[in-house]
Amino acid sequence: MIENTKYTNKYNFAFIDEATKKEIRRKLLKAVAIPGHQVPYSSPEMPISRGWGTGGLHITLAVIGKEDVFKIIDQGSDASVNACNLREFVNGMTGCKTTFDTAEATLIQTRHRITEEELTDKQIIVFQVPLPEPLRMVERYEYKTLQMHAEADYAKMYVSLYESYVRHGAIMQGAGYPVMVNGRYIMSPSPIPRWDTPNLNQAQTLFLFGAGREKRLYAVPPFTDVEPLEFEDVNFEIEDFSKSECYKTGYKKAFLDEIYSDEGERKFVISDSNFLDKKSEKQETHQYSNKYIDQLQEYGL
Amino acid sequence: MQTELHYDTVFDEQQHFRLLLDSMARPGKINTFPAMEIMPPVGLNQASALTGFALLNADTSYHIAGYNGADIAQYLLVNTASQQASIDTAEYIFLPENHDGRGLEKARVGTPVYPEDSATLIAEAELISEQVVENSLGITLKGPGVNGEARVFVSGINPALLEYLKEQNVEYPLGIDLIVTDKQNNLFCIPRSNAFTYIKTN
Amino acid sequence: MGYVAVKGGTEAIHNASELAEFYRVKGDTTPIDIKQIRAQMRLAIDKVMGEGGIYAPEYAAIALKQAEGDVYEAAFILRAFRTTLQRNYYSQVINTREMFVKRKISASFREIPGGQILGPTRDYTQRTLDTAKATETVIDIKTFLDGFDAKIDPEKLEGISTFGKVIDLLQQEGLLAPVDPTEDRSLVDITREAIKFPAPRSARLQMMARAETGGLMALGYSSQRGFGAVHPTVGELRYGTVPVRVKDAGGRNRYIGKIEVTENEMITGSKPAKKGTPPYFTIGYGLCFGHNETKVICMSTLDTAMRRPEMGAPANDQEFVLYHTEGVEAMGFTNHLKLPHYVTFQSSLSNTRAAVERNNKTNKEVEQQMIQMQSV
Repeated sequence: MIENTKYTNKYNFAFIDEATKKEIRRKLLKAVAIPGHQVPYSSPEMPISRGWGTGGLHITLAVIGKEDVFKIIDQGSDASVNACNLREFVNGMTGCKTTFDTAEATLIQTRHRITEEELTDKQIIVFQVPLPEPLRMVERYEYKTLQMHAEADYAKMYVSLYESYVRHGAIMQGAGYPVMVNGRYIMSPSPIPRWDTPNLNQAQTLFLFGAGREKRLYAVPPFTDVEPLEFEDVNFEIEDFSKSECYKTGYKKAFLDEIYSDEGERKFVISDSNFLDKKSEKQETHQYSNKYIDQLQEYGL
Repeated sequence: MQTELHYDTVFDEQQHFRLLLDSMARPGKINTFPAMEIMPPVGLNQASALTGFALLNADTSYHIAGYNGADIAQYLLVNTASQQASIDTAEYIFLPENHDGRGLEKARVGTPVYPEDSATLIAEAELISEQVVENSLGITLKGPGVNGEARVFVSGINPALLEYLKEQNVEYPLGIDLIVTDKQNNLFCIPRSNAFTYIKTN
Repeated sequence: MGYVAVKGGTEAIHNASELAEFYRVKGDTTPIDIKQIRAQMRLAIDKVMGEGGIYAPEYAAIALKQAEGDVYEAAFILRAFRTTLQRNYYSQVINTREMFVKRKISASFREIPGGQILGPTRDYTQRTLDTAKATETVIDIKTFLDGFDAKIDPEKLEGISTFGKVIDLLQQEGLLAPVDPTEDRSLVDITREAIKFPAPRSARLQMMARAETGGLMALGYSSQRGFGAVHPTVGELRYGTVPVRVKDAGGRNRYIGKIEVTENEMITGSKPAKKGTPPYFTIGYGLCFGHNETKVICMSTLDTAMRRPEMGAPANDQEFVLYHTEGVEAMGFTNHLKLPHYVTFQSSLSNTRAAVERNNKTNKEVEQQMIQMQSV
């Protein structure tokens, strides 16, 4: 007969065993020392599906301490279903305080967005990365992409972007727009919209990236050059919301989600749920600014 | 040689790692390990020992380039289960104060595909400070993690070691990362991504 | 309620998981006993253990029950459980020559040392739906077991174990290709480090031992059909138990138990590496937990196929085979498309709208020019 005691399994603080935490930590230090370079790591299975934020979780759980205040968003929303599940997991395994308030959080995990509010040097943001290899779209083999990174041979990438321009009149890359980090490595910023991409450049905050299924982690330290790939005559552009506004707040200068009512009517709403709450309640916020957003202001917003 | 009883392998380790991460992400930024009741052997300061505790385990290896190596090795073995290795294979290399960098040319610098397969130096100094201190080198850092320029003053560090580091990091991303610790539990980092200059302050 | 209604997400996922639990038990029937699952769902359990990467039939049974019989999900649950376990020892190398054989066949020779032992197999049965199983009772099982026991003559019972292997015959005759001295024979642990390509054979075999059976079958089949052209013969397929030993702190070997495994050695003709070398046979190897013959046959086919990258078919391509047969990762990622992607989609929308607009504008200009030309 099965004895019940056999099934009482106590999990370590932050779930992951200490040996694996140490391995991730060692590799994080290396990742920070070589900005934009993808470092392979063991990436043990988690009780969360591969492709559903395991890489982000590995990093979160390797860095989190008892005093951290944890926030997690998916598509900018604190209430997105997968984010809720991961929040409960992290909270259950660490007992850490969780928050929706961007300013209160010390450790933020995110999928597909950077917060609208500017993050500080007291905060760390961890990105869930589905496909860490930006060159995969031009080269399917790993041993070849590794070589391309090693030699900083990025011609194929530029050719592909330029072809897109020639064919369609613009670089058609949407979210996850490839960036050049510290003038050395082309990096996938994870599928954040182009709206967020410029906020990686010369930021206050440490950005950590985890791709669990692909077993890679990488980093952008604060105050690091992060430039979207572009050409002299063809420039990177962010999504243009100048003709739309948030139907709840009337606010324009934020990444907006396009939503449809039952009648098929199109509306827009601020994507960052905490930012939306703060704007609705007329609270003070300190938003990121960059030259692309500032251009929008010239539209007379 | 005893296992340190006042060291918490879960929570102290996590807290110390965060300080290391912060210093590595912000070259030149001085962080301080909280005071702890640990007794590393002569030749290993507390901050270096705590750095070792935070990073070493049975899956990794280290080399002691200073004196009293046998005692230190025994101490690290009982506290981390990490193994000693030769200088050309070790992942972490512990250096005493004023080490002149000799022998370190053999340390791993990684490969073009895997530049992270490289050694990290944990070098001891007398004192690390934001202000000028006696007999110090003023190190100015520039690069990722630094807003413009960062300045840090260190005594008990040999200019020859910094020269060695510069040479190893010429072929970036190949290179070596440096963690400097002092007797006051302070630390700061020079990752290979950063360029630096130094001057004798007095 | 919306998919990501503000602050409604937590409630939604709790309700959804409660509903899933309701679906598991809504028939209001007697719960299936874990012992029953172990005993009667033997092959499902073996699949789950193999893909879950942990030999634990009882836990596999629990996982199967929890996952309503979804073997992908059950294997995933076991994998996640496995990573929470402390690793105290590494086992000594398992020697399959010590196998207590339950089944052993060779397709390459009519008679083999120790004989062909069919053992438990459904290979030579008619796969008609046995509707009698619908009304099977405890008494039926008992009657069958009693009758089965009665047929066994204890006098004639001999342990079938420790046989030489078919490959020994070929080896002795000098028909097997010598090991390529340039082959990477380093031993890596794929659960402790990310696989790097080109991967050593140890990593390839480990990956395949945990790979999803269906994935291996698709690619193994493609190779046999002609994409990569491996025309193999089963040298020896075995199923049985092997002892597992660990070295204790005092350095002594300790027997800790036995596990069931299926092993296959697949013989393939080789293409001579250079002129003057005879076309030796090569052996493809497959081994997995439990009883899963499809898996080891396809694994050993692919083992050979991956050693011939120059053939250029999907089955010859390490990266293609190993990454895409990894069931837990493949299932996770294919299913992650269910997650909201509206932010990324918005980014594509804005690009596509702009491109269509540009295109319409160009068409209009062309039209204008045409009209002007006609009026001239």
